Amino acid sequence: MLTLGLSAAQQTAFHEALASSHSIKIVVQVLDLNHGALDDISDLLLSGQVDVDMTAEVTRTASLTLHDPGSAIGFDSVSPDKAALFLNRMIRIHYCVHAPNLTGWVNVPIFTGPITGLSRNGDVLQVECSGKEVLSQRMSWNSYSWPAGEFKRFVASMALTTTGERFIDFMPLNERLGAAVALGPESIPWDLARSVVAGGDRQLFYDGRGVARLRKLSPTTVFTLRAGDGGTLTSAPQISYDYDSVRNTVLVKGPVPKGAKAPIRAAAHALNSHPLSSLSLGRVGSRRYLVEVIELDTLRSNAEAQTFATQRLALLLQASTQLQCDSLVIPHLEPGDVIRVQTDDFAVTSRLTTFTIPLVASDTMAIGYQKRIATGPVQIGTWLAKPAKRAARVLKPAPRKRKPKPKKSRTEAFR
Amino acid sequence: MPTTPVVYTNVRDTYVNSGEANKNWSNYGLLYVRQGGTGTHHTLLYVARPVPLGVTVLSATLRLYQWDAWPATAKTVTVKRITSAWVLERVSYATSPTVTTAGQTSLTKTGQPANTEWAFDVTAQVQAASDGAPWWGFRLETGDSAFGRFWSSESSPTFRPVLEVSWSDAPDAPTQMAPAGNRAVSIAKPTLRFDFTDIGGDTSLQAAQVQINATNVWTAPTFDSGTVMTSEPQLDLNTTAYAGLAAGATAWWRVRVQDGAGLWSAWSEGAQFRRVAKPTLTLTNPAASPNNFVEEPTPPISWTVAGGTQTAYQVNLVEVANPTQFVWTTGKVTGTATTVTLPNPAPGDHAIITPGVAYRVGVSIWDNVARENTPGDPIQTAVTRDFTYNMTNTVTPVSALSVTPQTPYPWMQIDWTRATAPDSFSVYRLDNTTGRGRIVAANLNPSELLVSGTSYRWVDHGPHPRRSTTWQVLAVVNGKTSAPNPTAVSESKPVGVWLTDDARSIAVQIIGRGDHASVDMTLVDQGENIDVIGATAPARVTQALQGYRGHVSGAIETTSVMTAQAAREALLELKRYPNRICHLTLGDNTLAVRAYNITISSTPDPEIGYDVEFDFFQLGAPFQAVL
Repeated sequence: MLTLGLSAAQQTAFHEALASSHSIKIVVQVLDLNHGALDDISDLLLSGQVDVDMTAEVTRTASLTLHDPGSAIGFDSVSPDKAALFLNRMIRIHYCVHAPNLTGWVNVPIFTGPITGLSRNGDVLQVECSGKEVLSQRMSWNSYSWPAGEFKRFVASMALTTTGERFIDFMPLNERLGAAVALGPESIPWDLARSVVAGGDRQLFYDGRGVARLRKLSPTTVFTLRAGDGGTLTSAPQISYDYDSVRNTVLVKGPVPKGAKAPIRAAAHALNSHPLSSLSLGRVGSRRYLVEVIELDTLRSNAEAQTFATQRLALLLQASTQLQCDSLVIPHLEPGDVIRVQTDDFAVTSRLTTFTIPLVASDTMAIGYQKRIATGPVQIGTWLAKPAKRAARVLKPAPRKRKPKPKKSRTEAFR
Repeated sequence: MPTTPVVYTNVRDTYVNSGEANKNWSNYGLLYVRQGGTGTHHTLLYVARPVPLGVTVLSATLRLYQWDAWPATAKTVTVKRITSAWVLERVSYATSPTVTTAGQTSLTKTGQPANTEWAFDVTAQVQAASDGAPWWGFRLETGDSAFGRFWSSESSPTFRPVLEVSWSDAPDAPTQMAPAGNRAVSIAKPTLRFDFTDIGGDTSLQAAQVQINATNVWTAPTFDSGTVMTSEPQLDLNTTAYAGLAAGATAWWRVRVQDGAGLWSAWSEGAQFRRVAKPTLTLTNPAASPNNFVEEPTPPISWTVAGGTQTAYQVNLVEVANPTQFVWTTGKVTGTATTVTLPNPAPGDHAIITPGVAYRVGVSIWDNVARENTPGDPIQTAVTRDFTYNMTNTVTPVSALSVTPQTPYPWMQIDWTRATAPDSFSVYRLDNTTGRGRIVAANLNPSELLVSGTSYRWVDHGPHPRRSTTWQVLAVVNGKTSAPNPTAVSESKPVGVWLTDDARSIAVQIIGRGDHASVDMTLVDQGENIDVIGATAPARVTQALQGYRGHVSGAIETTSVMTAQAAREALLELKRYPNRICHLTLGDNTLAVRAYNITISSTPDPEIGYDVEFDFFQLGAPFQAVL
């Protein structure tokens, strides 16, 4: 969850505001590639959305539909209009909230990233933006190398710095490289940075401010979506368990350390008592291992590999539950946050991997899936028409399965 | 949870008998314990893991009830935790699961009657299960050769075995901490923010403990807050004995939290922050009291920065009487500029400031230091100042002011004289029916208004018709506005509806004719009522409050100032530039609008005129939203 500098009381008031009637304001700024604010085009916004998927190559994307009569914004980077939208421009979107219990507007940056696509239909401009990963997902063209023993944190930040990135916020990390690392002319800096700091419970991503963040994926629940008064849940949560994504064992393989004969290797298993453990899923004395194999060249010891495997397993066990629901917008949630959904019937905790934030008041936030927010009409003269009442889901949630009734027979087995 | 134990009544049970070592007794209605004799009897009970993993079990009680009266000799029954799997319908003495003596509990009673309750404290065993030890239920056994018989789960609800458990889990170690990441604060004793999450047991925050140290090694921290009772996940270091962080210094801090059950979380990881002073920001215009006023309608807002490098700024203006609503803002602008001039009023709009109204200007600047917002210490440096727009009698006012309706147009012609041309003129218009006055034109160039000699003229295209209105013309010389200024009162009374493009001097009169005349207009809210599951009322999410929107239909005819054909051409000219700002005058309102869908239909006799219709929406709301 993005910290907003609010006091505890202000944070509580903010969360209460999000769960009750409130006003929103979407601020859309045009930035240069160094975060310099060039213009405010909020008044041109017809509709839009910010999509987040932590499993994708680019975590955040944004789609904006702008009303741009007379091509006032312009396509060209050399346009005399300072808000020229082109590939050397970025978009920043703030989701601003106000309610009577707040002393002022709370502004939450939910997207910062370069423009990657433009299309025009009359006076309506469709703008596609991607997270700032795309700026470092290109060939390095120059060569850099770092020796074994160099701090991983330093190497990763330097890899991003070679692409011009200055907005970096990495957690403390004392690990060092097990072997020398090079960023060749055809290497992708972002990929190198991610591989160097990879960890079982770590996340390198760009947040809504456009800051490259390395953080520990916390097991802590940061927000609870509740039903009822004071809650934010607007659709019944759908829980699904995907067999293909279930893992109860993680095997980590590394290089052969200097002077050693065997390669680094470590495994982590779910506790026998865990419902997804190899024992719980096994049959008559035969365990069922559902293994994720990870190979990491940057590992230096078995202990490091063991830590990685344990942390990774903890995440996988948590991720085996797929949660889909809709909620009033909680704009400061971040991919990788752990959320809890609580209704009168049940409660479930899940790691947030995918969500969509609408930029219009008429729609809700998609949790656990992405949906297409209704866009404004695209013809002059009708662009003021009201958007469709409800958005259509792009990804249809899995149908709810009826729970089998428990057998009342005393022949029930305990294993 | 601790005060309301969870009662598990769905206990599955059976017993095994060494006398018939291969027999399964799961269909038998009683539970037996016995040692030796014709066979040793053990009772087996199972309930699905009764507590989540990793919690603290506050109490766990297993209750069973005697089936019959037992002999008047002391009988001890022991409960052990089963450590291997068993199948209810197949288990026998020969296939009995293994048990552990760890945490076992015993109870001794003598000669009790039937239905006597045996309440075993199994807290330690359930705690072990929560800690991840194998969990397959309990085994009851005795060292006595006499039978001991209990009611089983197939008996009446009153006497069947139950397990009562209450637990609490320790809160999670905080992970969201601010300040962190070696970002800077500007004060010696910032407020430290952290998160508190506890989803089981007592979920309230009771206390926190913060340590601060020069390094991320915590063997001997330089500051330890001790246990600080708090219900909010933050600690204001001003309320502690912390000496404060010196300017330029760096520190690490960590925190742990305690829930209402007294359980402490683990310590958080260390978070680093530093102290860097913010630049000194001084507002130079408007000046400090008693000179906190400006004397021109579009004054510059100026400031100076010392002790740092400005990288961005934002200037906001509010009315003192309504401090939460921006009258004007630059937004956050990247740049090193230290002066911003209030803009001229746009066509159909008014100037930002009005004489006599108290305003508050706020200037915020950001520097090139990576900072973190903490309560009471925002990353930007901000100053505010209250000021007014004053006029002065050191500047000679205009004279011979007159206002003349330009009938049949909805406009007002303003004439005045001034012996010498000032730097600029401004026009102030007061709606006497609402008491609302604004400067509707500023920085007018005298040479463009000069009629002849010392006479000047300007046409006001935006007054509301049929409302008593007062005009003043202000002369501005060297950044000072004249006073006292003469006033003129008048009102226009146009006929029909007028759609005008003032900048191009296009004006079309639309009149009602038969059933073709209508004006529909509504005020529009942009928002949605969103239903939260189970909530008694929807949440209203409002994105914008808009002005009037509507539809006008009527006719254009030949009048004293324009033929019907000329009016048609004028309308087509308006249609040709669909995004220009027009004025729509109807009833007692003049609205700045965008008109679209302009349609002109011929009538059978062009001499009569044409039927016309169009849609419009107002620019800006006719009221100020209260937020």
